[in-house]
Amino acid sequence: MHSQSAASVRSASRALLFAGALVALSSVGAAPARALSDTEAFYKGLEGLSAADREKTLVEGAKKEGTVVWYTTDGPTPTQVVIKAFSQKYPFVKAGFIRGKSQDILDRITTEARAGRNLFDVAKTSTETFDMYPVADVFAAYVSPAKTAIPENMRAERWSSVFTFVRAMGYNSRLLKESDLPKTWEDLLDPRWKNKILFDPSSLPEMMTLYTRWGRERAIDFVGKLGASGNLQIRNGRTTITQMLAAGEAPIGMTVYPYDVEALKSKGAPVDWALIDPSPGLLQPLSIARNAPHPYAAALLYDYLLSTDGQKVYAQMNRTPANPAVETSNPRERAAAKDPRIVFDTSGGRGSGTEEMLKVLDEKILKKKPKG
Amino acid sequence: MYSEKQTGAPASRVASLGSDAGARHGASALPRFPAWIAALSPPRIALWGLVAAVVYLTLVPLVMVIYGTFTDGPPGTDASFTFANYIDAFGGEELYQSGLNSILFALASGALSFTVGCFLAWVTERSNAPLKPLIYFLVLVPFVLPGILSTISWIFLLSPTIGVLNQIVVATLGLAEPPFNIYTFSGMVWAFGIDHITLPFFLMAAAFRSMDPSLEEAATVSGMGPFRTFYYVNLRIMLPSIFAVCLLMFIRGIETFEAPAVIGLPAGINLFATEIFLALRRAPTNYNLAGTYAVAYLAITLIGVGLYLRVTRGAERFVMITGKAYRPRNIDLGPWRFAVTLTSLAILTIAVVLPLAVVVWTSFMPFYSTPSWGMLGLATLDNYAAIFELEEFYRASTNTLITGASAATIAVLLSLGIAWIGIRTDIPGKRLLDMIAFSPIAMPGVVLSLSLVWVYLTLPIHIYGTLWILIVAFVTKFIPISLRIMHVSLLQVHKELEEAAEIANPSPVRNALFVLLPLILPGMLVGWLYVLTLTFKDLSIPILLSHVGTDLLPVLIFGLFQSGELPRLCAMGVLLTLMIAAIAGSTRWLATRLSVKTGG
Repeated sequence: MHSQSAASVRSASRALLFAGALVALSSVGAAPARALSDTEAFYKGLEGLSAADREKTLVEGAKKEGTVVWYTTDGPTPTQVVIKAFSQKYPFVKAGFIRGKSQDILDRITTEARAGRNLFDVAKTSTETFDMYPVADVFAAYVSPAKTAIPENMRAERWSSVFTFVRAMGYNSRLLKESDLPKTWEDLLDPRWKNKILFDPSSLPEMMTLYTRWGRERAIDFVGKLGASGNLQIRNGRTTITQMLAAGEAPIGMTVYPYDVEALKSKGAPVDWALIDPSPGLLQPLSIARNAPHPYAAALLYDYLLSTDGQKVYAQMNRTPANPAVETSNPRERAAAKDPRIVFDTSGGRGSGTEEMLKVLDEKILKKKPKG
Repeated sequence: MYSEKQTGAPASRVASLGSDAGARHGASALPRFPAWIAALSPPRIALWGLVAAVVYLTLVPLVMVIYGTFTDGPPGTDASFTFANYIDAFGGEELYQSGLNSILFALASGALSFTVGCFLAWVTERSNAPLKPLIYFLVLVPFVLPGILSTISWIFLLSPTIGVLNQIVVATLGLAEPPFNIYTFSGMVWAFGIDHITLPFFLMAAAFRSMDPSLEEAATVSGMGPFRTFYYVNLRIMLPSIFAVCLLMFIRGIETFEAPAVIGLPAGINLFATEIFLALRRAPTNYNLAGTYAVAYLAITLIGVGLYLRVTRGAERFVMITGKAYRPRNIDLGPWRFAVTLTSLAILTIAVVLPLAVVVWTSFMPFYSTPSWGMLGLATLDNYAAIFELEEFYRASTNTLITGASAATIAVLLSLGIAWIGIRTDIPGKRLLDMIAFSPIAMPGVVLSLSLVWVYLTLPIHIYGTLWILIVAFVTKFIPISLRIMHVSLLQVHKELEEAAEIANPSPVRNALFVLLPLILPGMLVGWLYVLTLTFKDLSIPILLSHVGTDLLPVLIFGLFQSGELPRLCAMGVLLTLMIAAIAGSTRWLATRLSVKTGG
């Protein structure tokens, strides 16, 4: 998945125009391993140390650095909760942060990198955007004992998922009984759902899940039918959709974040979620900057977030920690993440068929006519 | 007062000599022309410095954006020349339908905002209707509330399924069908238009405040009632203000994104802004395509400014603050004053109180649910507590206040200079200067931010990561609005006054401070408050330009929205409303005091 990364900094939208360039740059990206950055060389040097020595080295260095800069896609409250927990363990490191949508973080990191400025230490991105980064240029190759607690399919040289999401069907439990729920995407075509399904326009992962599971023909044919059914109401934002479901605006929302639903449900809101076949699962990749201004503190924060303590903090917020040994307050979502109906796709919106499915989504569901 | 064509003529003839350098020096020898324009005095240097500052602030991102529209990569990549962005952006047929929708939407919602805002401005500024401070406060509310909140409030009020108003009307009148549907074109016009009454209110209030009452007296003497006076006298005189408002409202209507996204998408009505949103929702932001859409806005905007400048060219005829003693007089409405207040409050109840009530209600709830006695049992202060627990809230509030106040001050002063040049001098290219200074209004915030990030990451001016880059961005983005406000305020001060002051006292600085400034201070305060409030709402700039420790409130607001914390967001909206109301209250108090002082 990293071979295309050198190309992915380029404008993502009209891949056809750049097909030639993509091929050319991909081969550059796949070329023999590049020289280690200072940050990477420093981490390489830590690899021989025992756990205690490693921690001691990092703590001493971090005391001198005093700060760490974290770019994250988390919301305001989770960010504060995680940072508070980190500061309790390492009170001598002041953790500064920048929050934003995954698109904002991507725009920021790539722009800073192009200008040759090294401003962040640790970044939490998202599956959808990860491969649009010039990964090898902005993120460090980092080996840490903390990473070994994370399942192998949730980490690689330059990232490790800190927790996972699935995206599921949300519904209003006052308006719909569990037994009446649609089970597959095809059930959503039933005329009884006329104008009753809230649908987020940024549903490329959903489209790609259909594409992966069903193949091109069937996926495209289905999306056409779904768009023509008149069952969908376009709503921007999954959290808004969840709020609207709770308020009773419509019975079904496609798709929502289960942790979001669980949070409302625990307060007594009439909402719940269920899996529909197939649905996307998303990773939350955590990376260290290739040229981190505070490499000691960066490693401390990174390792903390993957440690049992850090994973517990996420678990308390209804997230599904990447470390399977850490219990979560949202066991249903953890079970769902292992469900065969969930497709974890790390192609980051760059896999084959992406452009085509994006176009199908635009034309068949968002009713935009073909361009030019 | 219509005779100043003659008094004005020599000055403009002299100033027009400035077109060639030799004559400019000679000009100082001519009488009646402010010497400090002709000679290279410190004020003149200051003036040119100001022009340079404005041109730098606006042209740098503009040039970058326009250059970007012809390349295929963001700044800093070896992008190549292409027309593909223009084909992508404007090639599709659907753009004509959505463009037409946008124009209709902007016109309809602009008309709604203008009518309501103008009426309320007249009530608070010129009538003797009671409860004016309450009206003033209520008009301010929709402006302060985050746009996303008020749009969602309208869904909670007027949705056919869960709309509270629909439920009430159905229950009371025993209707079979809910009477209102927010998910229609008119629903969208309503939600947006009624949410934007504040700018027309402000601008028209400033215009009403500086109205020469002798004309109205003449109208009254000749037997006109207050309404006919309004139509035949006030309306005509305030034409520049009206045009400025219409222009700003139209542009705002064309570029707004919230109502089209939250109401238009479910309704299946796509506007131009919706198309842009759909085209740009993919990561990474297509800087080039975004810029290309900006060019369309730019074209519309420049046509608008061109029209505006044309219309106001003869505006000297309407100048209001002359050398005569003037003081705007409140029209005695007699017993009608209660009716007027009642009407105003009825309008404001529907327009402001209801959506605000939804926000306040939600701010005390664990999640939104249709208001009922049963739900009242769930009322909680948790949402407020959660806001107060966020360290980010305090830091962001302080940063926003500092940034907003600085940006507002700089923007108002710079735009005052530009407006002054445009109205009082004949410097060649002044119209171009106005257009350049106005052009950022067409630039989507994300485009402006991306180009500024790039500029200040690469230039050896290290303001990225400080509050300065935010101030620079806000000044650039909001100069257009303060420019129109200052232009309108300055148009109403007669040249005679400055010329008289010039003769009485040759010190330009003293004259500016003691003659001009007090007269336009109310306008300046309006512009200042408006820009300050905008910095509390604009997300596109801080989302890319804030850095560690320089976070602003809009990022926090959006973060709360994005992470599904609607009730907390509502609590935040209530706190913001109180915060801005306090600032606005003091500003108004100041404005009233100052205008009373100068008016006498």
